[in-house]
Parts: sequence; C-alpha cells; structure tokens
Amino acid sequence: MKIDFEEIKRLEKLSALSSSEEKLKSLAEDFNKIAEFVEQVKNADIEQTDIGYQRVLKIDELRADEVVPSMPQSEIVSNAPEKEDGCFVVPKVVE
Amino acid sequence: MTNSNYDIVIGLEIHAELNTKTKVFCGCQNKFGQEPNSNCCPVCVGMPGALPVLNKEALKLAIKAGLACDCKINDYAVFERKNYFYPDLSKAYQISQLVKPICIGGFIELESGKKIRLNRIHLEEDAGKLTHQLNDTHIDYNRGGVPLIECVTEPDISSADEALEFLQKLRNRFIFADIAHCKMEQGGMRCDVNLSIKPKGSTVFGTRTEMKNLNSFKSVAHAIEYEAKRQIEEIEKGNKIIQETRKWDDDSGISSSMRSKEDSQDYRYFPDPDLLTIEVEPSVVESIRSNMPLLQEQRIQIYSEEYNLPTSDINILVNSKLVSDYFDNAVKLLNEPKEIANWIITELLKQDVSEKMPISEQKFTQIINLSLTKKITRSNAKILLENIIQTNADVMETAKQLEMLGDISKEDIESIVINLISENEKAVADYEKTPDKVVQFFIGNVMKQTKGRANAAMARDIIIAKLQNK
Ligand SMILES: [Zn+2]
Repeated sequence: MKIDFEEIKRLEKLSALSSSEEKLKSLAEDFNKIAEFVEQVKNADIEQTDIGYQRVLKIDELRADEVVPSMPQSEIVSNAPEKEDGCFVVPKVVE
Repeated sequence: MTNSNYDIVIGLEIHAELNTKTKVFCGCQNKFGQEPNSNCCPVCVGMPGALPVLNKEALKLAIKAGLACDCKINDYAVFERKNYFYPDLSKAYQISQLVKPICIGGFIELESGKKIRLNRIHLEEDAGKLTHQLNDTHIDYNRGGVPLIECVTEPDISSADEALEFLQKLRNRFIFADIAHCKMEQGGMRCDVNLSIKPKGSTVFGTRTEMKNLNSFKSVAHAIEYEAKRQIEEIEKGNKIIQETRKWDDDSGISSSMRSKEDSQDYRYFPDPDLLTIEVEPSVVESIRSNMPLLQEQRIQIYSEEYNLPTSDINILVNSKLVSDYFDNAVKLLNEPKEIANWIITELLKQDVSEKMPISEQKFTQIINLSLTKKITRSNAKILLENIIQTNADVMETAKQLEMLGDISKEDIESIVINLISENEKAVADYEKTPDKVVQFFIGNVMKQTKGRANAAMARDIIIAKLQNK
C-alpha cells in the first residue's frame, strides 16, 4: 500500500482541514511508515488458528430496546471548547 | 407538466425515523423535543472507544418496513461506515448499510395500477441537529443515533402527482404497521428527489440533479415542478444540465446549487469493524410477518366488503390509524360495525382525536350496547356518552345516577297521564280541534317526567285512550 501526496491532499479536503504542503508531505511519509508497519500482519501464520473467523450474531442476541439513563447534559458538553445553552458550538458551517 | 415534448424521470430517497424506545446503537431515549444533548451518551456523541450495540427492535422494524413494501429480506445484515465530515455527524462517519441492505426490491402500486419499484430499504443512524446562528453553529446530538430507514426507489415516477401518491401510500404503510410515526414537521420523515428529463419516449436518461431539504409533501411537489421546468428551459436554451445537489428553499420557491458532482463526497465506505454480521433467520422474518398489523388498504377492504360501510365513512375511519385501531377494537367488543362507525363519526370525532380517543373502547361500546338493547334511549345514550367523556366514570353507575335505567310500567305511565290530563285543561279542550298536536304535547311531557325511559308507543296509546274517554 502506497499513500502518495495526491491521496493526502484528497483526504485533507474530505476532512475539511487545511495544512501546509510541507506538513502534508511529512504526513504522507508517516502514513506510509504506519502502513508498512501494519502490513507485517500479512506475514503472520494464522492457518492453525481461528483468527479469521467472524462470529455471526442472531437477531435474538441483539440488544433489547430498553432505555438506559443518558449522561447529564452538562457532562456531555463538558469537554467542548465552546458551548451554549447545552449545545456544542462550532464555527458556522452551512452546507 | 410544462412541456409535453419531454418525459420527467424521478427517483425518491425517503428517510423515516423508527418507532423504537431507544437509539439504534445505544440505550439513550429516542424522543423528540427534549433539552439539547440530554439524550446522549459516549456512543451517540462519538467519543473515542465507545462501542455501538445494535438495537433488536430497530432491525425488526426495518424488516417490517420491507415486508410492508413487498421487499425481499436479505439473509444477512452488515453495517458499513459512510465517511463524511460535517458537524452533525459526531464520529465523522455514519453507520449505514451499503453492500447488504436489510431489504431489497419491493414496490408500491399506485391507484392507476402503475408499480413504483423500490431498489432497497436499509437501516442507518440519524445525524444530530444543527442550528445555524448569526456567527456560529449550535449542535444538539439528541437526534444523533436515532434509528432511520432509507427507502430508495427506482426512477419510475414521472410526475409530481405520482410522487405525492407514492409518498402518501408509503407513509400510510409505515404508520399503520407501527414502523414509524412519519411526522414530517418533526423531521420524522424526509425526502430527497432525484430528477432528470429526456425527450419524450427516449430510452436514454438525462443528467439528474438531487434536491435535498424537502420536509413537506407540498415542498416535494413544488420542487419537482420547479426543477422539471428549470431543466427543460436549460435544454431548450441549448445548455447542459450539471449533475449537482440542489437545495430547495420553500419560502422563495426556488432551488439553488449546493455542490456539483466534481467536488462531491467520496464516502469511502468500509465494513464497520465494531459490528458483527447478523444472520436474519427466516423464522424471525415469518414471525414479524404474521404479527403485522393490517395496512390501510387491507382495512379499507374489510370495512367495505365485510362490514358494508359506505365509502365516505371508510375514508373518515382510515384517515387516522388511531381512529381505525379504535374502531377495530370496538368492533371486537361489540359486533356492530355500522353502529360503531356512526357513533365514532357523529359523536367522537367532534372531539380532538389527534393524540388519543376521548373514551375507552370498553365504555364506548357499553353505551352503544345500552342503546341498541333499548335499555336506554338513543338520545339518553348520547347524553351518557358526553357525561362519561367528561368524567370517565363507570357507565352503569352514571346511567343509574342520571335515572336513565329501569323500565317504566304501564301503570306508572297511566298515573302520569292521569295527572297530566288534570293539570292541563286547556290542552284537553283543544283535543277535538288539533288531536295530533295535543297527543304530541302529552307524550313530550311523559318523556320529560320519565327522563326518556317510557315507551313512547305505549304512552301514545294510553294518552289517546284517556283523552277519548273524557
Ligand atoms: Zn447514546
């Protein structure tokens, strides 16, 4: 897997971020290092294990539709850099 | 519509919030109109490390929606992440279904016999609600994580009228099957319109635009008419249609470009590793099918063919699921559908029945039965009904208190008549001249004194006999 500069530029746009060209270049390098690191997983011999097996759930095993208490409003927004009237406040974004 | 040289090609995407108690991936309440961010937890505000757990009822309701639209139910359900960046989405991805939607195919037939095919119905989570202020945007994630179904039609619709009929039918099915409340004013049902035009009879589709932000049937119709006209005008001018998303503005009655396809989103779907694949066993699907409430069309058929109700009454009864359910329950208690329909329409629908019926089915049918078995008169039954609606008291107790019950014997009537005759000399004197009027006068008085319980025919015979003996 190779992540090139163009790919990073595209992700920057999709994430609505803006960064310098230099920063993006170094990000691309980091990305590739991370990808290489993860690639090692492919070399693992899992023939004799059940790692590749994904359990399938039956409908009856799903969560029952029963209300559990939510978090208090104040706690939910407590980490927000900006809040007002119990809402998260972010820069104005109109699609 | 505006130009008969063109065909209009419309496909709809309809979102409906499901009638569950909790959200789709956490146990927070699914409830409209609460304090901002008061129905939230780490899962539905997308805090790192929080794990989604699928709500059984949400999946079952999505299956039910498929059954209500004659879809095929998939053997497995898989969830993907749909990635996009917008602050209404706390995780920067929406959990949705791409490869294996829970329902595929299906159709809804219009009155004309034309079938509007569905492509799919899938289950996903709703996004939070943004309120744009002057300088910033406020976010409330109470709606974030509310279970949502998305129904996608094939491009089979060719006019605003067809679109409206389809939407009305779909909405009725969801409401009557207890799948979704579809309150458009609360955002419980939303619609996107894909529209293109092509020369009449051509088999090649034109370039389509997508219109978002349609939250009433009226705006769907307006937006379709506006957009078809706009596209025809562009083509006639020799211009090309640009594939883009357009935003409908209800107030100004025009749509404007939001973004063109070139810089549109690349959602980078991939399977959500937090959620396991779910096996949809046929036995579960069958049990949902066999417990399905009757849909509006089925009720219309029963009311007409089995109960012989007039069409005008049927239309009133099936106009609301609440009223229709109430009628069905009442008929189960008292097998007098015509009588019950009459009483509902003339007496109960005078009241506000938007949220609930004013009296229980048990008490309602008890009163009707008292009238049908002539234990109380019809006019007394109406008075009794109004009384019980106010007090919610016991029917028999109230009827007794109002002295509506109990037979009046022939002797009782005779003694009342004898008294009346001695007290009303003038009326007795007029009997020769205007017999009908005088008899009527005495019957009225007998009824008044017996609170309507006397047998009117018996009273008449007694009165005439006494007057003639005078
Ligand atoms: Zn939650």
